[in-house]
Amino acid sequence: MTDLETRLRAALHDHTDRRSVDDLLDGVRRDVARRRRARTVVVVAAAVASVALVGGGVSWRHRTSSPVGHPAGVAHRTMAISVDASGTAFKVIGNQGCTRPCSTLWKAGDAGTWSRLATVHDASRGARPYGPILSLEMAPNGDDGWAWGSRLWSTHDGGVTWAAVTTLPGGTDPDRNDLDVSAGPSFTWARMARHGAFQLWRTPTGRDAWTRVRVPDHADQTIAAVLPDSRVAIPIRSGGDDYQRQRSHGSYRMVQHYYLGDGTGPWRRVTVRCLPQTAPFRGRAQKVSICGPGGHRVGAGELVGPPVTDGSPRFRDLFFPATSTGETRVNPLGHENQIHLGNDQAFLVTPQGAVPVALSIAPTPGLVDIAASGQHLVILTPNDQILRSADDGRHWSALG
Amino acid sequence: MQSTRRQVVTFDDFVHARFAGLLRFGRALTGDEDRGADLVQDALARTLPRWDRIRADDPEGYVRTVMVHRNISVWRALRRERLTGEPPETAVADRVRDQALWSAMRQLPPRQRTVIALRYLADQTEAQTASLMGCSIGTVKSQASAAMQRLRELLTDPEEDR
Repeated sequence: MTDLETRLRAALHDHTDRRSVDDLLDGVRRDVARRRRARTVVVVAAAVASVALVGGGVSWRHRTSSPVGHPAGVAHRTMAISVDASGTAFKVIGNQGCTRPCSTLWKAGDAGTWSRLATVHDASRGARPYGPILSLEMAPNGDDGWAWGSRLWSTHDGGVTWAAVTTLPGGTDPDRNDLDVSAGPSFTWARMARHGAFQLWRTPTGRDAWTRVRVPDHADQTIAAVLPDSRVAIPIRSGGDDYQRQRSHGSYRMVQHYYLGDGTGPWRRVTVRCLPQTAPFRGRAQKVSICGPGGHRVGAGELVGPPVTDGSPRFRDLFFPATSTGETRVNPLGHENQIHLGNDQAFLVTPQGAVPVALSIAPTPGLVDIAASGQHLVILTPNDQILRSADDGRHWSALG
Repeated sequence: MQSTRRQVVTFDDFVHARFAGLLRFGRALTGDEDRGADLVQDALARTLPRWDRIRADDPEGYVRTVMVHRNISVWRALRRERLTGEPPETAVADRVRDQALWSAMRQLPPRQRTVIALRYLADQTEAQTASLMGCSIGTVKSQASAAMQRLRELLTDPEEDR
């Protein structure tokens, strides 16, 4: 063994910095919740095109996010955002202006000025530095909403008053039950892990009259995306979103199969085969394979990955400039568009191509959260800045 | 409720038991403590929803595989910014570290760093490394050779050792 090899082994086996495993586990569970939303965009893309129940002008309001996330231990920062169909933005801030664990909820209308709506307290899980609420979902009407973290709350008056939800099993302890809520215009869905299995519940949006919905066998425990017509999409466990090994040559691919339905009739199966994220390679001519929210691939340079879909639209290759550093970041937004946040320029990527957009902020390395409702979009940056667009991402303004 | 608890506890137990090793692997893949921890978190977040399926079949291998692929392909696009208003508990300067080597490691391309991590930390054979990375054994050899050559250059040229 050479000196360099010896030196390498010693360095690689050296102790790492001391870290809290509990903080990491908290982060893992927050990432799992956020990642569910990221994948829903792909589901909607396939569903919109393949089922043809939703006509032109589809607006899909389920938010998505790149897995940037806030680290544990961040107080007084925005933890989640949402937006309704009128463009009113909502945000949750952790432990601001309170002496015991709290989350404050705010909204910003057309004028862009934040006004405080409510403060929610919950000391049941101890003094978490980011407050009791980690996620927020406002319905398109802006009146109904659900917030969850250490437990689940709902509002039916635009966020002014919030009440803990106790009618939903696990609602008193959703954090541990792996809860996620997705609001559609007619129905709102809740997905949770219960007794080791996936459970799906729904309620008419505007009420907390939750009823359990039968799910197909092999439905996964991860996400439940809501379409504009309030149907829900669920990944299929067997062959669902996963790294699948190509045993012949040792590589992996990601394949996604979903059930789509409203819970009252049969579930339809839809399939998407491509990565829902960027895959940058070294060099200025990047290879990018993305399963875009519109069902198309977006790329610069040579495209990689299998372009085959079952029942979903044919992929189209779109091109946008590579960033100067050789990295690219694309974050899904609405049902068709994506925002590409490069180090020196942001681009809006649409099925027609890519156009530069001014975000009115310094280029950001990623997003903490994204919410969309029709043409209205809001994004939360790691610098705690919130930007809003009223035209599907073409123009942005900062919310102060 | 019992099975839910068992699932959570088992996953948590796994993370507790393998935490240090996964952090080392993440650091080796990325060349950086923080990014390595983020990579671990990212991989575990992809593992948790599938825990029931993989826990009986080498879950650590699954996590490491996800880490390798995420680091090579998509991770750089998704890395998170670490925000903290608090200083680290332990001053880095207090640690005995081969900073020059780690600085050189960070300048390697991700694939070369991955080969180094798999060969010299995980003690994988060339065939195992090739299988894990989804490439040929020849590619592993050439990547390893290039990585070692580049490390030698960087470690003997202090101007390049940023």
